[in-house]
Amino acid sequence: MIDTTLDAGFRNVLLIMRQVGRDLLRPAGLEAEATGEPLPVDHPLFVSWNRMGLSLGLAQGRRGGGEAAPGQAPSRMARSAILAAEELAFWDQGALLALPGPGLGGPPIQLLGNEDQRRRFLEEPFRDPERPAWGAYATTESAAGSDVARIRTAARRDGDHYVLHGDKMFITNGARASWVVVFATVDASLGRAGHRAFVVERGTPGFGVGRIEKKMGLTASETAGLFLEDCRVPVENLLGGERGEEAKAGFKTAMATFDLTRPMVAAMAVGIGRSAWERARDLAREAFGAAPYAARELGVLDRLATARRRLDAARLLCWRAAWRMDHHERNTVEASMAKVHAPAAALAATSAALDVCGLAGVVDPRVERCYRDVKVFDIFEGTGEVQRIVLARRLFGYPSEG
Amino acid sequence: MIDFQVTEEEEGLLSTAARFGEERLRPAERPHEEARRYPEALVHEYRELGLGTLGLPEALGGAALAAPVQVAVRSELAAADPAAPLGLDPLGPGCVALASTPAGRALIAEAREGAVAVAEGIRVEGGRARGRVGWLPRGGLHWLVLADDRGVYRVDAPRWAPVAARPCGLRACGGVEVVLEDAPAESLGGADLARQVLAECRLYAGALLLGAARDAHAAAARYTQERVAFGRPIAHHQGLAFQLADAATDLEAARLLLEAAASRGHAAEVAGAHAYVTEVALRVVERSVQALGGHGYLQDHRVEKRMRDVRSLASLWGGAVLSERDAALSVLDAPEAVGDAS
Repeated sequence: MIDTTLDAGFRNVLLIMRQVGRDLLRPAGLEAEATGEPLPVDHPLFVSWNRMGLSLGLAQGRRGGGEAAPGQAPSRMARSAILAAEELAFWDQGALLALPGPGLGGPPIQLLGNEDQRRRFLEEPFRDPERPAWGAYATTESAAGSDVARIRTAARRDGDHYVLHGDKMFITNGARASWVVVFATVDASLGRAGHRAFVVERGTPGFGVGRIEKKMGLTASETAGLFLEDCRVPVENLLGGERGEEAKAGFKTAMATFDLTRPMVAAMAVGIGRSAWERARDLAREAFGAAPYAARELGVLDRLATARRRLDAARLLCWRAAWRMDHHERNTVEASMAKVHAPAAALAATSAALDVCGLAGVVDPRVERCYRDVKVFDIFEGTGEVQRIVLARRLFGYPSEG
Repeated sequence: MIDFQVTEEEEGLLSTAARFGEERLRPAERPHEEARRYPEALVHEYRELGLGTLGLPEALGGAALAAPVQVAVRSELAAADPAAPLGLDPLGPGCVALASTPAGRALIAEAREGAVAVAEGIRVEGGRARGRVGWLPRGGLHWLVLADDRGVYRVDAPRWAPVAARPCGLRACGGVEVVLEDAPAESLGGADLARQVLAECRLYAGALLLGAARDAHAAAARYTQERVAFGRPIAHHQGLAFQLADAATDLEAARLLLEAAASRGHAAEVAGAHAYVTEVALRVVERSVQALGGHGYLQDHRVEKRMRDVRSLASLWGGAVLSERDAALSVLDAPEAVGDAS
C-alpha cells in the first residue's frame, strides 16, 4: 500500500548527495551570498562536480514518448532524481541551479534533436570535465510567461538560415551557456502551432546578453536576459523539423519531460523548507530542550510541528509522482499536485523557521536565505496558477482555452 | 523502498468495501440517520464480510490487516456513509493495541462489543474513575476502556444514558452519555499502551474524515460541472476551479500523510497526520457545501450530511486539539524527515 523507507540503493543516492551538498554546494552558496553575485564560471565547484560524474537525471527523457509498454520493468530514475533534488537543494539551491550541464535545454535536444544535433550539443561541449559547460532553455519573454502562445520572438527563413529577432528573459545560465534552445514563432497568428525551437550557439552574430538580473534570492545562480538582433541561425540548428506537425508531436513529447521536472522542482522546494526548518529545530532544541511546555506556550513547537507535517505531505506528493513515472504510468496530475503543494508548504516552513529564530534568523543565511530562495518555486516551472489550471482541466473538464 | 503499489489482494478488499458501501450503506444513509441506528441485518452482513474486525489478530477472529490497509478500507466505507464503521464495528479503535496485552485479549474474548474513549473530563485516581463522557457514538456496549496520558483503564459499572439531544452528525451511531461515579478502574497498561491506543483511534478517525471529505468533494465536482451560471458550468469559473483543484491536492496530500504515518507507526507522526487530515477534511466539506450554494444547505444533498458528520468525527478522541499538542511536544525529538525514519 505504501512504503516510505529507503532501500540501500536510494539511501546511497541520498548519502552521496548529502556529501556533495555539504562539501561543495553549501560553501559555494554562502560565498555567492557574500558577494551578491552569481558564482563565476571558473569557480572550482564546477570542475569538482564534473569530476564526480553525477547526473541529475534531467536529460534522460525517453525518446519516442513518455509511456512504455505494459510489463516493462520499473525504473528507479525518477525517484533517485527526486531524492537528489531535495537533498542538494537542502544545502544550496542557487549553487544547484548553477551546476554545469545542458540544464533544461537537454530534454528538447534529447527528444527532438537528430543524431548530429545530439552529438554537437549534448556530447561535444560536455566531453571534458575540466572545462565546465552549460546549456540553457529560453521560452519566456518579458510580456509572455505563463501564456507561452504570446511569444513574439520571430523566426524567418532566409536561404540556409533562419533569422531570429526578439528578446528572452529569466534564462538560467543564459550568459554562460555554450548554446541556448530558443523558442521563436514563424507565424505569430498561429499561436503555439507557429513555434519552432532553435539551438542558438554562443558567439552567433546578433545574439547577446542584455543584463544579469538582480533577484530576491538564488544569488549563486545566473539569470540572464538575452537578445537576438537579426541573428542568423543555420537550418541545421532547427529542432524537430520544419513542418509544424512534426515539431508539434515533438513538443508534446518534450512536455512529458515536465512530468519529471515539476516534481523535481517541488522536491527542491521541500529541501529548502527542510533546511530552514532543521536549523530552527536545532536552535529550539538548544533553547527549550529541557522545557518543552514553555516552548509550546510560546507557540514555537506548534509552528515547527505544523510546518513539518506540511513538508512531509509535500514530499510524499513528489515521491508518488516520481513513483508513477518510474512505473511508466501517466503522472501529470500527481506532478502538478506536487508543484502546487510544495512551494507553499516550503515557504510556510521557512517563515515559521524565521518566527522560531527571532531576530537572529533575519541575519542567519541558513534561515533567511531559504525564505528568499524558495519564493520563486511558486513562480517558475509553471506558476501555481498554471498548475491549478492543469489540474482543473484534467479533473473537472476545465476548458483548454479561456 | 519508496513504493505506492496496491497489491491485488488489497484491491480486492477495497472493492469489497466500496461495493458494500454503494449497495448497502449509501442508499439507506438518510433512513439510518433518521432511525439513529443501523438495522440488525445490516450489522450482521457487515460483520460477516469481516469489515468489523480489520485489524484484530486472526486468533481473535480478525483479519490482521496492516494499518495503512485498514485506513484505506475504512475510507471507502466512510465515503458511502461516514457514520457506518463507528456504528457497525463491534469494537472501536484501540482494540488492536489492547490485544497486545493479556488483559486486553481477555476483555475482547469475553464480550465482543466494546469501546475506547479518551478520558477527557474524567479523572482516574486510586483505581476509581469519576466524571462524564458527553457523547460516545455507540450504544449497547459490554465494556468501556478509558485512555489518558498515563495509562489505559477498564472501567466497570458505568451508567449509560442515551443522549437526549440530536448530535451534530454521526446520528446513525446512536450515542450515549457515560457517567462515572467512583467507578472501579482496573489498569490495563501504562503510558506506552495509551499512546498506541490513541494512535489507533487517530488513524481510525483520520480514515473516516478522509473518506467523508473525499465523497463531499466528488459530489461538489460533479454538481459544479453540471450547474450553469453566467454562461458556463460553474466549475469552469476560475475562482471555483482553483478551489476544487486545491481541495483535490489537499485530499491527496492528507491521504498520503495518513497512510505513511500508519505504515511507519510513530505515535507522534500519527498525531501530526491526524491534525493535518482533520484540518483538510473540515475545509473541504465546508467548501463542498459552498460549491452547491443553497442546495448544499439542504438535506437533499449528501454534502449537507458530510459537513455535519465530519465536524463530529473531528471531535472524537481528543480531536485535533490533542493531536496538535502531542505532535508539538515531540517535534524536537521527531525522526529525521528523510533517510533515518524507517
